[in-house]
Amino acid sequence: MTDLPYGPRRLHPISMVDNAIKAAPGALIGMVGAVGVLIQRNPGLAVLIALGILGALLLSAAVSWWRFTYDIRSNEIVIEKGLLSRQRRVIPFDRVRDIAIEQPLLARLVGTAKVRIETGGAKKDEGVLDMIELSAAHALRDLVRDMHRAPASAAAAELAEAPAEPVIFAMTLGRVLLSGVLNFSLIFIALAFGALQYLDQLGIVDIERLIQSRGGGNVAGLLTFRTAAIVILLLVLLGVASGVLRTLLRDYGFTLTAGETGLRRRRGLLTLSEVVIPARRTEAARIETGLVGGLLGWHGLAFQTLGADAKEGGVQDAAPFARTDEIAHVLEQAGFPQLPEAPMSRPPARALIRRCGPWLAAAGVAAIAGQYLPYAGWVALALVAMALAAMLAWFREAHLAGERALYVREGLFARRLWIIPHEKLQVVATRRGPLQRLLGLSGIVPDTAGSPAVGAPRIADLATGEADRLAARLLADFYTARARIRAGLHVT
Amino acid sequence: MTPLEPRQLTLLRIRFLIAAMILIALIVFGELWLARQLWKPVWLSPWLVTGIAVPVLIAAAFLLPLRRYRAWGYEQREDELIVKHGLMVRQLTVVPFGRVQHIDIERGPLQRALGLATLVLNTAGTRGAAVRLPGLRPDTAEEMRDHIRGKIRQDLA
Repeated sequence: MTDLPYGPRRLHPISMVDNAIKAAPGALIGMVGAVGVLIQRNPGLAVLIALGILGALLLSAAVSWWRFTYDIRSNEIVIEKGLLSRQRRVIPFDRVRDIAIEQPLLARLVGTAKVRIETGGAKKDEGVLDMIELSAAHALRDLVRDMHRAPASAAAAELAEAPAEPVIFAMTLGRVLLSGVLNFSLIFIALAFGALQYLDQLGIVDIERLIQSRGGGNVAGLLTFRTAAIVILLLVLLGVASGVLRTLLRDYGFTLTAGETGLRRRRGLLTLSEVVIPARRTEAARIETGLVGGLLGWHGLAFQTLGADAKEGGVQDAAPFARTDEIAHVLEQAGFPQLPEAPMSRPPARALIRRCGPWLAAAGVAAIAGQYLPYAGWVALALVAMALAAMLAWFREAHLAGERALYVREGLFARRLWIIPHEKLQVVATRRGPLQRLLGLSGIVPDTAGSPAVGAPRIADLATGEADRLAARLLADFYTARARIRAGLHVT
Repeated sequence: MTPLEPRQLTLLRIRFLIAAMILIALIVFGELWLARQLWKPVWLSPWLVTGIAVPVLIAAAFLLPLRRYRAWGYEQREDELIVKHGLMVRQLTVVPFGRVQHIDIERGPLQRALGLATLVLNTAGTRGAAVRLPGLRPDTAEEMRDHIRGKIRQDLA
C-alpha cells in the first residue's frame, strides 16, 4: 500500500495516451477533412498538416500532463493545473463526501484508476484524478473513510485497516446474464443503424452494398417473406446479444455494500467502477419492473441522488435485478422507507375521459377524413392505439401517502414505483388543466431535489377535494418528518 | 388569497400590447407581401385580415390580461408561501421556507417604471426549482424576503 501523505506528484504517464485518444476523434475528423481536400492538389502539404495536427494533439496531451500535479497531504488534497493560467484547488478532507474509483480498461492494464473526489458541491468534476496508482487510490479512499469515522474508533481503525463492509446485495454471473437477456433493446439497434447511416454519409461505409451482399439482392426488389422473417429474427438475436453484452460489461461482479457514508457499489467487466450512493443525499428510491422481468418476479432498485453523477441523471442503480425481498433488504439497510403495505389508491375512472377522449376524438376526425384522404385511416388506427396506451397508463397508476413516504406508481410497459420520504419533499404543486377542471380533477407534482427532468414522479389525476387534502397532508408530513429528524429520533 | 398589485395588470396589458403590435406588424407585412406576390384580389381587400385582427387584439388586450391577472394570487403563511397562477392550467404551488436555497428580487425596466418587483424563491427541486411571484410592491417583496430569510436561518439552526 502506498504511504500517504506524499508530496506533489503527476498522474501516471499513460494518462497522456489516454487523453490523446479521447481527443483523437475530433482531431481525426479535421485531419481527414484537410487531407481529403488537399491530397490531390498538394500531397506534401496534406501530409504536413496531418502530421502537424497529430503533433499538436500529442504535445497538448503532454503539456497538460506536465502541468497537472496533485498533492495528497495529511488533511487536504491540492490540485494544480493549467499551462498559462494556473489553477490551484484545495479540497479539505472534511469536505469530501467520498471517493469514487473507476478503472477503465487502459487504466486496469497499467494498474491505475480514475479517482473522483465527491464534495458537497453541485458541479461535477470538482476533483478528478484520472489515472493514479490503484494502491494510492485505495489509500486515499481509506484515509477519507477514516476521517469520517468517529474519533473514538480511530485507534481501532489503525489496527484493522479498511474493515470489510457488509455486502447487502450482489449479483452472480448467472443473474447478470439473465438480466442481460431480458434487457434486450431495439433502441440500441436503432442507434447502431443510425451510426451506420452517419458513416454512410461520410462515405466510409456503403449501406446499400452491405445489405445487398447480405440479403442476396432481394432488397433492391421486393422483400420476400422469408427474407423478412430472417431479418427480423436476426434483429431480435442482435438485440438480445447486445443486451447481454451491455449488461455484462456494466453489471459484471455487481456488489453493493453498506459503507460509512452510504451504499458502496462496485461493478463492471472491463471498466471497474466504485461509486458511493451517499445516504444523506439520497432523495428518493425508484423500483422499476420490466414487462417480461416483472412476470418472472424481477425488479430493479435505484436511488435518486443529488449531484453524485450527472452522467446518469442522478439516478444510481442499487440493485438492478433483484427479488422483492432483496430490494426490501437494501431499502432497510439504506434506512429508507419500505415498500407500501397498504393497497394504493387508483385514479378515478373519469380521468379516462381526459386521457383517452382527445385521442379518440382525433381518431374520429381522422376516420372521417379517411373517406377522402389516403393514409388517414392509418392515422386513425395509430390514434386509437394512443388512446389504448393512455388507458393502460391510467390502469397502472396508483399512489399512497404512507407513514414515512409518498408512494407513486406509474408506467406504460415498464412500471415504476417511486418512494419519496416525506422529509425529502421540496415543493408541492397542484395542477389543473382545462379538461381536469371540467371533470373535477387535479394533478399533484411532488418535487424533490435532483429529480430527473423527464420521468419524474407525479400523480396525474385525483378528485379535486382529495388532491387538496393530499397536498395539505404531504406538507404536514414534511414538517413532522423534519422535526423528527431534528430531534434525532430517526436517522436517514 | 392576496391578489397582486393592481399595477401588475397595467404591466400585463403593456406586455400584451407589445406582443400584439409585433403580431399586427407581421400581419400587415404579410398582407402587403401576399398582395404584391400573388394577385390583386378584388373581393379581398389587402386590409381585411388586419381589419379583423386589430379590433380583436385590442379587445383581447383588455380582457386577457385581466383574466390572467385574476388567476394570480398568493398567501404568505408563517412557514410556507402559496402561489396560485395560470389561466389554462391552474397551478397552486406550496414552498416550505425551510426548502428555500436562495431568494432573488427581480426588477426589469418596465417593472421599475411601474414600481413593481418579482420575488423568486429558489429551491433544490427540479421542476419547481424557481417559484416566481411577480407583481409585488418592492417594499412588500423585501419584507417577504426578510421574513423568509429569518425562517431559513431558524431552519439551519
